[in-house]
Amino acid sequence: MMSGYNYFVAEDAHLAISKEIAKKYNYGTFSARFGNLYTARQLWQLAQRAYGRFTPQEDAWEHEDGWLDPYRPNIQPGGFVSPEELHADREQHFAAVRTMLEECDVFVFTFGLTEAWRSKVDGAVFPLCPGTAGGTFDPERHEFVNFTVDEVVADFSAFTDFLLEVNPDVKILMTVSPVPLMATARADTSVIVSTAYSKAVLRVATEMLAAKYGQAFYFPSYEVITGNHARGRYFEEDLREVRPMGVAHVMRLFMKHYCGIETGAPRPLPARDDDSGDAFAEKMAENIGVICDEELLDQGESAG
Amino acid sequence: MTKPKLLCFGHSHLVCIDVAVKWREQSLEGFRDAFDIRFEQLRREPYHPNFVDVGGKRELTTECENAMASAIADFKPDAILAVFSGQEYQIFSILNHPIKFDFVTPNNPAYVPKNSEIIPFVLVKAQLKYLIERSVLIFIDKIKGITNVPVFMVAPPPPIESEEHILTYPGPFAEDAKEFGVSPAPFRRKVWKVYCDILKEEGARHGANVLMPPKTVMDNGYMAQDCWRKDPVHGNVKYGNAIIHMVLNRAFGHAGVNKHD
Repeated sequence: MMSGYNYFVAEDAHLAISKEIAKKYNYGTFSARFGNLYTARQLWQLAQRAYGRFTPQEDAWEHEDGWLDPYRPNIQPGGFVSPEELHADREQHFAAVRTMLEECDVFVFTFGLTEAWRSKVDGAVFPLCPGTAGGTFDPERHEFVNFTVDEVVADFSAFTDFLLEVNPDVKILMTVSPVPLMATARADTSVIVSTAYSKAVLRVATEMLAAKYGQAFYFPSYEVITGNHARGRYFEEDLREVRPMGVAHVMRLFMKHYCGIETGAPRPLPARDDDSGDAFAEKMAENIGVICDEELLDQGESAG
Repeated sequence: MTKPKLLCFGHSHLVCIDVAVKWREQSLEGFRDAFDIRFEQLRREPYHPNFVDVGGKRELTTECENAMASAIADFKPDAILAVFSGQEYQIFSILNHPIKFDFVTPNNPAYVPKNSEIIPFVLVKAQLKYLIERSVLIFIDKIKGITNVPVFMVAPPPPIESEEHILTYPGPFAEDAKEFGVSPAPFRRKVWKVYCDILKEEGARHGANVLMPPKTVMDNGYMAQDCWRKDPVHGNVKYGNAIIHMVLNRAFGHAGVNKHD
């Protein structure tokens, strides 16, 4: 917003909920409350689900805290009180996803992983392996998958064709996550080798997709962060997380080369600049205050 | 014989209790000799304003803090009655929000209200808890930091079921009530219940004994009609009388007079 661009949030918490609380429950973190979308397949299935074109059989996971959505298991600490509440929230979420897809000017997607877990029943892809954040892993129903270049290109192409149908003027910006894998599910393969494969596949796929679609562009944040020139200085001590200065540098380059805006030296990301709360709640509080004052003024009388 | 001393801190819901105690002192033989009860109204100076924002954190003003400490030191109570705030649930629920909302509860998990935005229950709970933490619990923590005497915290009055009553005595809500409408009574009762559940849990965690309004002032989860005051949220002297009766019994084992037991 500092640069005159809005991060489009189509699904925010109700105004009656304070910003501090909303943030804890992942409102405003994502454009809609879908959580991390690691793979192109996950993105494509989300769009299909939002438009009622795909309904996975695995619907809800019962957890000690409540019911979890298998397709965004970490989105709501404490879970949902029932499958019915989960479904109601999911419908609101899908409406927000539709709004997001139809009304955004620029759609940004960061390709994160090629490895995923999916349902053997209908191919539904989970963001996390069932049994980790919730659910139960069942080898009869769940399987590991490591997507190929062709699969990633096919999934994102299907998504892009669909997006252009509902939002013909949208521009698509693709990036590849510079964050290496923390672990791999490939047997007998080092996480280092798996990371190299995954990033190579995603990088090739984005190149092919940029060549295929006139409205899709690749922005090399992956190279900016991971390239030899950076000498690893954009990574935190854990060698995975990207330092704020790395993020700021990427954003500065993006603003300069894609938006024609010079933002100067890297600086910390801005804090939320929308401090306006719920005007209605504020008015209600004011009214209550008046009544409470009147109650005190009336104290000399009967109070009855 | 030393009279047991009850020190009462609170906001507007304390008023009906204060009036009830005065009525008891004047009308009930032996009551004045049975207890020493003092009221400290936090909506008045030197307590008011209660809070100040310190680097984004809400704290009691020095004046409020000092006044509370002085009141406790001077009076040396045997027990404290805390009737703090309690309006948070009303702010959240008394009128229809311009963007109508509702929520599913664990008591009726399969029922999804229609024609409203559904706020997840955990979020409703988190919001009400947040409001309680920013008001009631700050006072409780302050008191518990000063004295070890038992603190009895009374939950706020339940909502008034009658929309007609609220619209007849809307006070400053008149204009907004006309525009947005009074929210459905079951919704207001539901919010009150969640609020009280959090209050019980958090109050206990912070060392207070949380008391719910007695059955005598309740009717099907709402405030009994004979306890309504001529405004949309407060209880009357009958309500206050029932509360002080309950608190005295809980704090000292009797309420001073038999005929109101």
